[in-house]
Amino acid sequence: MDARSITGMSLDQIHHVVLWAVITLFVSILLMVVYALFQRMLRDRSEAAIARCEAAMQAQLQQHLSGELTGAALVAHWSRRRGRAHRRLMASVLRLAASRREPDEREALRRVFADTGLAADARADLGNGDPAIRAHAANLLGYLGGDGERIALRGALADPDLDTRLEVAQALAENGDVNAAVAILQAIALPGEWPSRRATEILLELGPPVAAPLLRFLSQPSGETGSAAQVVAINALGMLGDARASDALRARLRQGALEVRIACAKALGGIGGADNGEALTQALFDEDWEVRSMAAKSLGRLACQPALPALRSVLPDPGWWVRYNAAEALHALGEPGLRVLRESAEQHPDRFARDICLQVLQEHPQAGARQEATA
Amino acid sequence: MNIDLATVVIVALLVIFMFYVALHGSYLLLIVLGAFGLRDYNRRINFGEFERIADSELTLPITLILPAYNEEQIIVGSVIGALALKYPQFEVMVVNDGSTDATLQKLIRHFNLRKVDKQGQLRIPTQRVRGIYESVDHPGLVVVDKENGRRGDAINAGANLSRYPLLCVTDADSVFEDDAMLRAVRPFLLNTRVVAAGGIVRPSNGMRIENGRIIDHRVPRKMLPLVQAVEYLRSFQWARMGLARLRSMLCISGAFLVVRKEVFMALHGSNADSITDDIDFTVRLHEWIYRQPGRDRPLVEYIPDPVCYTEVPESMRIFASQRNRWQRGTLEALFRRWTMTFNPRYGITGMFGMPFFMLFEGFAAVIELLGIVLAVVAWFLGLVTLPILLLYLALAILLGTFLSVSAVLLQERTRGRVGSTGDLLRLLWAGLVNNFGYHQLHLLFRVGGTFDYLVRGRRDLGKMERYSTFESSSSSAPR
Repeated sequence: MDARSITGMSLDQIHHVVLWAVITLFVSILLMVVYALFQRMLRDRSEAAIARCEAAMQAQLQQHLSGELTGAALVAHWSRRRGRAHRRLMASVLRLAASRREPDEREALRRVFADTGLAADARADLGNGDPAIRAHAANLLGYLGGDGERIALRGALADPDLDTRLEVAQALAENGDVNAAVAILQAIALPGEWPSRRATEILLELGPPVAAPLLRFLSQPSGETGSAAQVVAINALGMLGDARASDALRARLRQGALEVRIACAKALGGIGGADNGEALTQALFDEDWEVRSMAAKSLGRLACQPALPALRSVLPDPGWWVRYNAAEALHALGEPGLRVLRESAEQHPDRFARDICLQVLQEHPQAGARQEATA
Repeated sequence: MNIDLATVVIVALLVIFMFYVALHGSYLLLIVLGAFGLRDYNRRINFGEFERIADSELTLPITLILPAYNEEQIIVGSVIGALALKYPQFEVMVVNDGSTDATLQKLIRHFNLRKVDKQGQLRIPTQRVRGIYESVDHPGLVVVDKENGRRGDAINAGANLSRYPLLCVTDADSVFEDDAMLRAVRPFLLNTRVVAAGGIVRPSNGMRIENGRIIDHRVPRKMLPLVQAVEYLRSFQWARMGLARLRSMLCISGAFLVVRKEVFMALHGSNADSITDDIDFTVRLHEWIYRQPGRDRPLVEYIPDPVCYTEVPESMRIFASQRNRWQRGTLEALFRRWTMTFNPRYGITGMFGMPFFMLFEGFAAVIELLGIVLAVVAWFLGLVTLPILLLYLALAILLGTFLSVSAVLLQERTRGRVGSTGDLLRLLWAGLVNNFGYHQLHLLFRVGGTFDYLVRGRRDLGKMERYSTFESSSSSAPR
């Protein structure tokens, strides 16, 4: 057994390779150290340059907005930058500078972006091969708004990259493109990767006008829409508090996929109303604890007095969160609920019900003080 | 077959040499993957994204769990810093794990705590909880006082009482960047398959910290913590980033772990009996991931931004004890799940991650020490000349320096790069100096840990001591 049989090389050959490895490593380390110091110097300088550039842009923008500098002069000054990467950097710096301006200056700033060609660059970048560049472009177009930008963004909803689609959707939402609501919903729907909170946020950016398209979406048969998309639509409607959604939500609360029922229980709490309170009270006896828990939480939010007997009856529920939310809901009912909590804390036959009532009373010092005063 | 000592020594040295080629080949792969991962991460962050997360009422609320044992010196400052984190909705849950000092008393006094009859779901059995306290002045603060049961048990007690769907487990001496939680939660908001995440941890030694807030980012001034700073850079800046991309990050640091509560509970929480609960939990997490049905497996993400700073030992004695414990903990966690190694059922984790950790983390120290001993023996036997011996020594030193300098280079691309050129030079210098004594001592401590685990059967934690205190204000004084 020798070196060649183990490594395929003789010892001398191995020593030779190691010698070259040592030389290579030594040179590499020297180069890396020099590069680290050089990179630091460059980065310090570029950060300083960007800061100066931004300050200069702010000053020029201020001059332009106050009428001291014509648009043509501004455009001429900025349009001297030719390289694409340089222009992207300029767009980022200008975006940053613009974000620090007043909202009512936005229209004037949009014209600056259009006149310098940066807006056109961004529209073109929506087709770039790099998803990060596409996402940045979508972000900028969202700020710019405008019909041309909206058309470009709608086309980009078909982007293969989810992060880019999210940015595109966010951009459309910022521009109040209500007609794109359903397209947005469908564009960012993926089973298993569903960023439901993010999707709900984006729809909420569209404001109350988004309720109508979402209701139309929910009126389609469930099989055509998918439960993930339904959940997002329901969450958004609940947060908007749109009462027109109540019928559709009550129907789905009775029969729907689990996550849909949970979302409906939450949304009905956001919408309110006596009929919804009744539906939520019935949901306190749903077969799934998550639905019961959310129903109890929503009843607390509504401070639904007629639900008091039902809330008391679920205090011994096997699910901790159901018990806790029911006790919190009782607390939200004011004195009648507090009376039930105090009585249950002392006399309820179920130990878990007693414990949870005691905890909730103690977590609300005023209620606890009243308990001590009446003891 | 007549095999003499010389042949055995040479063959053994060659095998060890090939081991090192494989080891550093893997490191090179991780450096490349880590660099690309960092670039992708930075490019994907869009304008205003973290502000949006901070302002959104839909951002997932988090329970920040701080297990504390005899932390009277720093606990108040740590909690003040935690409560000041920029995040829309979170609670801070300090678990006093049977401290024998005044940890609990200081918390009660400073935060105006009152005892409550709080009941959690108690899904994981723990040592007895003696009392739960909430703050009148800080609604998001909960203090759990329990009997001692080790760090894992304390974490489980905190998880039982947590209200929120995400848990962030950290150390009582950890200090966070203001937006640490925002950066940590981002992967969870973008992808519901993400079940856990870890972030970059760096030493806090040498920093100026007041009331748990970082005033001045500086690298440590003393040599021992400085070389550890470089070691942390190597471990967190490219190794873990690269390993995460290969689904092989089998150790999310206990100083900063974010995990979905439902997953934490499904795994029955931290293992209170383990020597190092963080690596034990992460290995079990990966095993659990591969047991999930369906093609879309849960993901473990890595956040290549510095989010958390923790103290590292400044004395050799404490450093030795810590590294001994880490080595024993690593071996324990890997051996408990040894069936995952080279098991295709566990995908790339089983085929790369487990073997990588088993060989290159678990036994690398023993193999390296053996290589050093054999090299000296070979020299005495006249099998190698002094120039050849020095050549291989130079190779070992330069390989280690290359890895360290790579890590320092990569940290220059993060938002938390060291503040001054002087600090940069200090780190580069430490990356070189590390190979002249410190690395060898570290090697001995790890070999000692291996011996203690395999031969002596040690499963204890060793003596846990506070390394130093970074408090510079009188934040611990009662209000």
